[in-house]
Amino acid sequence: MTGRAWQRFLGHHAAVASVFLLALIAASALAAPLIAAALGHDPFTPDLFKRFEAASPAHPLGTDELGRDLLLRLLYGARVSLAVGLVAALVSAVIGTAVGLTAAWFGGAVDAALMRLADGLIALPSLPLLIVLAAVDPARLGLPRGAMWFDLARIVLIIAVFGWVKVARIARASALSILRRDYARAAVALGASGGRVLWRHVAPNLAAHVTVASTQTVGAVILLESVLSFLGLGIQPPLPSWGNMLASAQELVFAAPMAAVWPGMMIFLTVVATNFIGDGLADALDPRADIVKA
Amino acid sequence: MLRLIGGRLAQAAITLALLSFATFLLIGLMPGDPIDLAIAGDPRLGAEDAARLRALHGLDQPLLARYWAWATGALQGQFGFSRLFARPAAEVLGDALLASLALLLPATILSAAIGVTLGILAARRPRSGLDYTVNFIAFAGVSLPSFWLGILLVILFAVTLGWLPAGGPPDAPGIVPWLRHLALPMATLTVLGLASYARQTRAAMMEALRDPWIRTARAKGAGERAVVLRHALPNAAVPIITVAALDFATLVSGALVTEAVFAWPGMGKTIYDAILGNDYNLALLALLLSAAVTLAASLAADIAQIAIDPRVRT
Repeated sequence: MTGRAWQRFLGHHAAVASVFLLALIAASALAAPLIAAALGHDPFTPDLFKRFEAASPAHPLGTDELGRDLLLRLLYGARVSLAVGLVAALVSAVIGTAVGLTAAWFGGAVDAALMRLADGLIALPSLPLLIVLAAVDPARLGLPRGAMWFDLARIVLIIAVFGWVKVARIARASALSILRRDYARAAVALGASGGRVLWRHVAPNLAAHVTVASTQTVGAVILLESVLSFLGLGIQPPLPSWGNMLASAQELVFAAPMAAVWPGMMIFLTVVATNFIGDGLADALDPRADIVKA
Repeated sequence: MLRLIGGRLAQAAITLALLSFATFLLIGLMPGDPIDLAIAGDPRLGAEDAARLRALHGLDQPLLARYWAWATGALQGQFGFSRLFARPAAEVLGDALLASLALLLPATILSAAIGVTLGILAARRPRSGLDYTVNFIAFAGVSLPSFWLGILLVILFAVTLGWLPAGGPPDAPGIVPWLRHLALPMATLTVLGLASYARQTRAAMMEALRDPWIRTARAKGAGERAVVLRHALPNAAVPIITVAALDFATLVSGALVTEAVFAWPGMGKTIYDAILGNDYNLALLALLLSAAVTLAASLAADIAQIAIDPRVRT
């Protein structure tokens, strides 16, 4: 980002505050084992004599239905939810950029086919399809069943199936306009290969748009992960994620309502923060922003 | 206009056909088949019985042959039986679709009415306290996990206040129990939908209020009410309707989660139960139906656009 873009970003107070909030959440998620050591327990061992305990110095947010510390589970859940959100958004951005560039470069039938596919995916309600995808049995594809890394990889891939569309459209639109500019046409005329034109001349100029679009998808991706885990199709317990913590809390909402408040609050804050950052980046990287405000 | 609608219908038919094929393949990849479940449920069934049952139901055929059999049946209106409910899948879905529409339609109308009103109010006084509030609501609405909002409403109205049931279908006949059970899921969906209406209306109205004919209308002495409602709103309507159509798919997905939270016996819950219960006839039909409803909504939005804006007519 250029100095001016930085200035514009810093002028977006909500976005700056969001960066700090996300950094705080990420830092405490990374430091979760240290916090666990300091409190003297871990978030995985059930203690049935300490179920539904109220907040206390030993358990800052109390305990859940199996007597596990809620704060620690939230922080370990943050690791899973944030990692899945970031990786899935990144994978979607890579696929989307590749599809968008392919469509813009080849044009014609390739372009039409890819964009119709994108239209189709946008017009469909994604969640029912995601549920089918999540219910696919890995063993039938010759993959190990029940491995933790497989759960994580699968949810990332499932989210990317729908996540690439928005980025692809933006990448295609900007690539088309860049390919019409003189420097791109000159590169083609000088005999540069398609890959070289796209990589050296188009991709760097796309970066800003793609970054904004993918930042704006991170929030949606975190929401999607939490929905799938909430429905029991995403991250499987005992590995905590904010979604599956909410699922078990909902069943006990009459006994311990607060256990259902915290994980949702974390999802909400994280998603609001990423949305604000996306907004701030969009403002900062928009070259017309100064003119509009003046 | 007829050509446009015809083209869109053809596109929708192709989408549904491709979707049915993709879903059929995916369902073939789900763990177990109905015969496995039957064996698990009845220890007297041996390997021979299983093979006989598989042949009887055509489950020993390759996936493509099974899809062909399903598709030719589907085109003749035969969608097979639901394994979970032991009734024709189409019949089960009829009830579920009605229950879902009872939830979706009022929620859509309410969120459009409230969202558009908020958007207009915010656009009339940019940077006012009201504008910031509407902005905040719009931002919060897109960031709220629908199921969490549902649970929060349950905590407030069912657990703390005890005014409304926490979920489930109506437990007694009559309009009052029905409304009591519908209230919380409907409120959840309304809040979710309202956010994008408010956001889009605000943006579109700000744009429309800058148009030159607005100044003309004011110069002619038209009242503020007439300026906003008669001169600006129709011009802002096209982008609002576009967004409404795009959001309908999101709303259908949101309804699925909301129905799961409140155990409302609609499409969402049926899809979920059918997929987890390996009821593939029901799952497939339910998926296609929810896609068809979404596509129909987007077609309706196209027609509404043509009706509102003569320039779209070709």
